[in-house]
Amino acid sequence: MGDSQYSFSLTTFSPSGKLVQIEHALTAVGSGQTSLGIKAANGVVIATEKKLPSILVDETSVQKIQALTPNIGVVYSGMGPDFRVLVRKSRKQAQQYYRLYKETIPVTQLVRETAAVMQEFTQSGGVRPFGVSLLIAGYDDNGPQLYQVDPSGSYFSWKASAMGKNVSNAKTFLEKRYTEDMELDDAIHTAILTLKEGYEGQISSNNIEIGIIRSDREFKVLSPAEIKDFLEEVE
Amino acid sequence: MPASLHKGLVLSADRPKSACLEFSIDGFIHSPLRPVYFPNSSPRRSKPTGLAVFSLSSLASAAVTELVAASHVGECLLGIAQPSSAFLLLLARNPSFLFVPQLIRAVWFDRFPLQIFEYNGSAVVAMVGKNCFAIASDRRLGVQLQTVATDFQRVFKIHDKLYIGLSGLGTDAQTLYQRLVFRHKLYQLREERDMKPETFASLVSALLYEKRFGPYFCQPVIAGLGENNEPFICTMDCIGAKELAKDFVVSGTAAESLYGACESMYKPDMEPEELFETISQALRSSVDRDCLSGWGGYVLIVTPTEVRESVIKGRMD
Repeated sequence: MGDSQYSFSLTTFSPSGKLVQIEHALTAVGSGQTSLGIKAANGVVIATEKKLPSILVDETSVQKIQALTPNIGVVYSGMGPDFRVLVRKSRKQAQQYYRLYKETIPVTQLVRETAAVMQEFTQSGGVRPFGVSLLIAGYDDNGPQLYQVDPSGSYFSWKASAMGKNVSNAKTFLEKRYTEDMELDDAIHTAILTLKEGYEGQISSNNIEIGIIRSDREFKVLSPAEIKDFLEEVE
Repeated sequence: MPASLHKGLVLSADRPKSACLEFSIDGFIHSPLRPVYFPNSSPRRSKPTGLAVFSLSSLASAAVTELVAASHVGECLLGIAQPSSAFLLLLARNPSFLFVPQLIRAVWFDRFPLQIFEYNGSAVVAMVGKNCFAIASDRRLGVQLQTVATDFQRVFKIHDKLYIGLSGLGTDAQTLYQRLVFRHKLYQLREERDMKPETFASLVSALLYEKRFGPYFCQPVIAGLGENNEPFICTMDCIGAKELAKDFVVSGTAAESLYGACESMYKPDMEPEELFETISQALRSSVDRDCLSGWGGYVLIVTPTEVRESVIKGRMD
């Protein structure tokens, strides 16, 4: 990049008006494993590939989809350790909100606060941006919601979205198959098919992770057995 | 002792603001006759004997001189019924006199330590009706026994369906209200909706507890219409202990009378008109029994469609 002499300090703009570190962070995200989310009429589903570096790794210990509150879940593409830090901060913010108002935090508010944390790290001294993009899925009084948060701190609400390695193919696929009045089960099937599209190798219940939230507002990560049932339905 | 002295007030020099006994030089106990209280800035407070000071015109200046010389001028009480040379002598003797007129009356209250919750006087009550609620307060603002305002606002609006009444110290009521409105306006901007009454009550409780070791001297009464226009009322103490109720909540110096009046007059599921009558009667009869609250009442009846404010006239004292 021609802006390389401006890429040393995060807090300096390059002449083209970009913050180069954020561009690099997005590149890190783009080389992470694919993850996607779909908002249905009665719930939200988020899913990701769980490709492990070796067959010796205990796959039950790896949890890429996490709950932030009982009714909000999150998945990422990018650097796992950065994701853990953000999850920890977001959970704390959700609990502080509850402590003040004795009310569970609305999804938009949690997304806003998480995004604010990510933005902080693009404007402080001595820190680097987070190398993750998050997909936050939740169900509150405003219905099912899906938000994507980028390393720059910008966030968008999506009906369906994908991030990571296979993003362009996945998004094209989703654009074709998405309908407004999709039911959650249809959405889960669509999610699995989308992951299958870009998957190198054989997809199975142990190398993908799926999290769903229905109108009962309980976020849950599907167990391998449940994923297996959905996989069989798809085939 | 001069025989002409027959009334007096003795104040113990080492306990300046507390117990003071009245007795006469000849041994009878009389009620105080417009005594005046001067705070003394002298460091010499060791002598325990009292100083008798007299408020009378029949006082011979010589007698006073003798008395003053004989005792330690810790605290002095001097009557102003008729300023005499005795007064001048005492003034000369102790130049640290501070003659403050309102303290003349304050001596009655200086028998006891400053009761911060009774300083301004207040009465606030809220009641639940059928799909409506009522919140009412008195209108007096006093400085101990002196009435300073007869139109003091204690019930404030947070949003169309949420009101808070703050009893206790007037300044804290106003400041707390400003802080709460600030918090609520930010909440409205961020979340694009009004706060629910239960949420607001939790917020007030958290705010009050933040000041646990230097509290706001207020007892809030919160009343609002929640989800599906269900009436919600609650009160809490000055450090945020919430008390929810289904019927009525009270606070202020007239609280005990209000409890009694509300308990006997309240019925569940009252229509707005009946609720108005009930709460006005309860408030009026309770503040009549409390010297620190009164001077009329201010009642708000809130239903899902309208808000009715009224000022009620009671005993103006």
